[in-house]
Amino acid sequence: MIKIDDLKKSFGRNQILKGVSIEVEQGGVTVIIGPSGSGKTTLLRCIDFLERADSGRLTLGDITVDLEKCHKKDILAIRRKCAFVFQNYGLFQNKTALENVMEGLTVVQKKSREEARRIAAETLDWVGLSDRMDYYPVNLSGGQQQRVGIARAVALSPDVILFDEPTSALDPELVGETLELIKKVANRGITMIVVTHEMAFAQDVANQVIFMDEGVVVEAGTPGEVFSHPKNERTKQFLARIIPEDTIYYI
Amino acid sequence: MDFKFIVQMIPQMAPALENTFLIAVVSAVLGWILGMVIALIRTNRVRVLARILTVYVSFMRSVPLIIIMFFTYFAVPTLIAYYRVEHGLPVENIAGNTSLVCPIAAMTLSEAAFSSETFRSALSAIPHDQMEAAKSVGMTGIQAYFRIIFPQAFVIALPNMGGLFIGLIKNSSLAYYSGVVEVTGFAYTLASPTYQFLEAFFVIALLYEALSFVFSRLFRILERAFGRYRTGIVLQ
Repeated sequence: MIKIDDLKKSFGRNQILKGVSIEVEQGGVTVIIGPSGSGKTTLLRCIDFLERADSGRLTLGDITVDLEKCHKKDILAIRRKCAFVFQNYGLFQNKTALENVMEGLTVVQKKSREEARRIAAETLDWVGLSDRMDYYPVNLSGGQQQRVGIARAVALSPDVILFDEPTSALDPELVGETLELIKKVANRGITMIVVTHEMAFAQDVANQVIFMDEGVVVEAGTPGEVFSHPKNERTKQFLARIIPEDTIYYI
Repeated sequence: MDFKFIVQMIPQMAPALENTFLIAVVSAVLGWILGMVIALIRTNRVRVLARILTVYVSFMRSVPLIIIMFFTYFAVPTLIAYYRVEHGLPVENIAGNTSLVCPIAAMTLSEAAFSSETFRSALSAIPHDQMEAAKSVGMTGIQAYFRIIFPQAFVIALPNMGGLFIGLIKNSSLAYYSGVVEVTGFAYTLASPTYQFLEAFFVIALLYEALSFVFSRLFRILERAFGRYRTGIVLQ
């Protein structure tokens, strides 16, 4: 479904991604974990071309592109198969919640306004915001804004949704309900790649967990493999620091 | 104060007022379009062009407008006349042309430079995530600009645009030096024979104040209408 091959990316002299290869199967939930600065977010942004990778290959469905020299057309085609959920919501400030969700449907997918409105209203209802459709982002709480962000992604019915630390900017009490919603998205069978620090969520929802450190994939496997029986020393250290011993559950 | 003079003066002002308006509005529209283009080229760092425009903006902002007007009114026609005579270029002789063309050209060039800085700051005030979000839903760059970036930048630029427009109305008085009878020129000509400058300039000073008042109100209304999303009034 999605295959990334030897992706490299530097910012100036600082090499962030040193040849990353991952594979994500159709309908699966892949969770990327790892310490800050390990390149998780950059990897995700490279998939959606919010950042241009220096080299590597990307396959998404039936499109394969060389990341070093790919055309605007390919970039647009891949972006239109992906949707992105931002850490800081990234809602269009000049549009209401409903318009935020409609925007891609009318402008990009060329759906009629009536159809777009119907889809947008249904999706907002599905994320529990049927009473906030005509609110501008400034009038929504962080949790509500992120739900609009998720609705905007889901409504596009993309091949894959990329979540970039979707709960990191939220109040602790809102994290739970947002994770619940993301789980609901996963249950719809949409392929997802999620960068997160929420280990319990990773254990609960992921089909595949990828542990990254210093720009490389250190370990990849099922949550059981990575969390309970990590092979790599660095993975063990990271997990030991981030999860107190007694909360790891064994499968 | 000769109130009879004032009463007689006011109804005759219409054509001059029309000229003032025409100069201000036409140079605003043309200058702002050019200014927007300059701002876009400079924020997107289009290689050579951005450098050239940086010099252009700095030059236009430092040279007094009156000199730019003398340039379009005296220097350019002289140049044209020279090339007509010496090289037989088929261009029209525009020396002594007292139409609105010369002052509007000068003010448009100057306005493009000044407004480009307003637009550039407005564009840079839009958080980067707006463009990224637009791209993430699959918009092209042009779609993102017209649907997401420009509407927000416009609201930020509006207060300054109001100030720029009032500046244009005031600066249009310099058009008098290129033979255009606008409000200031009209007052001067009317007052000259009888030396009634006090009355004449008192009236047009009030007129400029009134225009400025009306237009700043108008821009305030626009600001409120287009900036609703910032104050968070719920649309029903």
